[in-house]
Amino acid sequence: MLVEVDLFSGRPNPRWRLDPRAAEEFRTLTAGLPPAGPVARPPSPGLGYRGFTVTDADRVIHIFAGRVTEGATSRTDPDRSLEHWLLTRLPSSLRHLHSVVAEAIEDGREG
Amino acid sequence: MTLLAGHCYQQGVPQQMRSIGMLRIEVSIFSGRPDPSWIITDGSTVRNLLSDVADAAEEVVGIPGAGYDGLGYREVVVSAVSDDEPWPESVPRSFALGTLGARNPGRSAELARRVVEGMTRHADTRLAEHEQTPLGDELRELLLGEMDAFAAEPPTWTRSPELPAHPLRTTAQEIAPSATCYIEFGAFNPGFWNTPAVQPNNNCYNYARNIRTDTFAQPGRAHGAQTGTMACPNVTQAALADGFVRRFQCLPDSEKPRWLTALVIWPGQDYHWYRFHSGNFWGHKPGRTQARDYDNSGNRITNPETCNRGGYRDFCGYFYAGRSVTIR
Repeated sequence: MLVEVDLFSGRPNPRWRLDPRAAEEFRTLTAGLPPAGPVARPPSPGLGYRGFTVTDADRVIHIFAGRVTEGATSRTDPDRSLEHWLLTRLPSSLRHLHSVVAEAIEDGREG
Repeated sequence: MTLLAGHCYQQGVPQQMRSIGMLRIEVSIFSGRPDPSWIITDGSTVRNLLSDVADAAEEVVGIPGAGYDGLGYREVVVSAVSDDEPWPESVPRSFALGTLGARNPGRSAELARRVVEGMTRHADTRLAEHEQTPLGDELRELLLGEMDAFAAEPPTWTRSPELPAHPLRTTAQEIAPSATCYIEFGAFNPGFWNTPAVQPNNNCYNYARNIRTDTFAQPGRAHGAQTGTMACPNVTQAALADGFVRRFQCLPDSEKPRWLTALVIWPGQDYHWYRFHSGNFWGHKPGRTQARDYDNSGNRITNPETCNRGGYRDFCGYFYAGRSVTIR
């Protein structure tokens, strides 16, 4: 399972893989979120933090601003718990980004 | 002889021939039989034609099918044979010459005539259309005669010309106390970038230089000068190594199109570029997201120094990006 934090404009976005145990936990957490129906994805803020993209085999899941979307389906995550959970899985080489992303999630600010 | 059929005409073409660029020509004239069509494989002919068209793109280029659409001669359509060959930024990959849809139909007709005059030199590459419309001197003379008559006495045509959105660019003066430079204002054309094949693989640096590399280009990488330090002096040096120059270091006409760009920095994290457009606003492409002309507040960007840039708080300055800027 590949995680990408959509953060940068010029440099390639940071990416890392979740180990199988964390990947299973992610699936469980995602499945437990209440469905929101086919709603539009939140608008991209442009510059700065724009959410996470998780690729799980042929599934592509976008997580941003309390919305978890996969294709036409969407789930709500008003506490942004999934974004926080993914942030705790940052590999050590990317730990310097933790505060930047955490601040953006907390404040609803863009990066 | 290379035998080509239908739209599969690249099959069987030697790789080295593809790399020098090819053009497909189609004269829109017939109603029942296939229109005269041929492939120009000669590299110097391709380059010369595209160069001449690029120099006068705003005047001579029309949208295929948007000009006269009656019976008889209508236009000469020139198209790229593939999407991975060098192509002037001011010219669409498919355009019409000798069309009433051009701003200057007379100049457009001159270029179209030149293309058709060389028709029989390009008959070796066989197309399926040649079965019913073989290329030869007789056909060439027919086409030239019809084109001359069309240019001398254009048919009545009442629709307003549709002009291509992409090739429109204007040259403008940039005036500083110590210098007057000329730059080009390109049209805002997000549709080029916001496609599944282009959008994820090109970033703000590609957008600023206005060239799709599909490499998520990095300042300095093409010249061994990439930096990992996200600060104005470092990213600036990397861009200068690629051929960017600072604003008001005037570029000659040979560097057309000369884009005005701006660099900003998210200190320690990342960089970002903007490009100026006709209409006096700025476009940009944040990472893998869509090209756009608005900032993080949703406002159209008229000043990259003061627009909402999120964390990209350091403004590094303005730069020109001319034709010779190479990025990777």
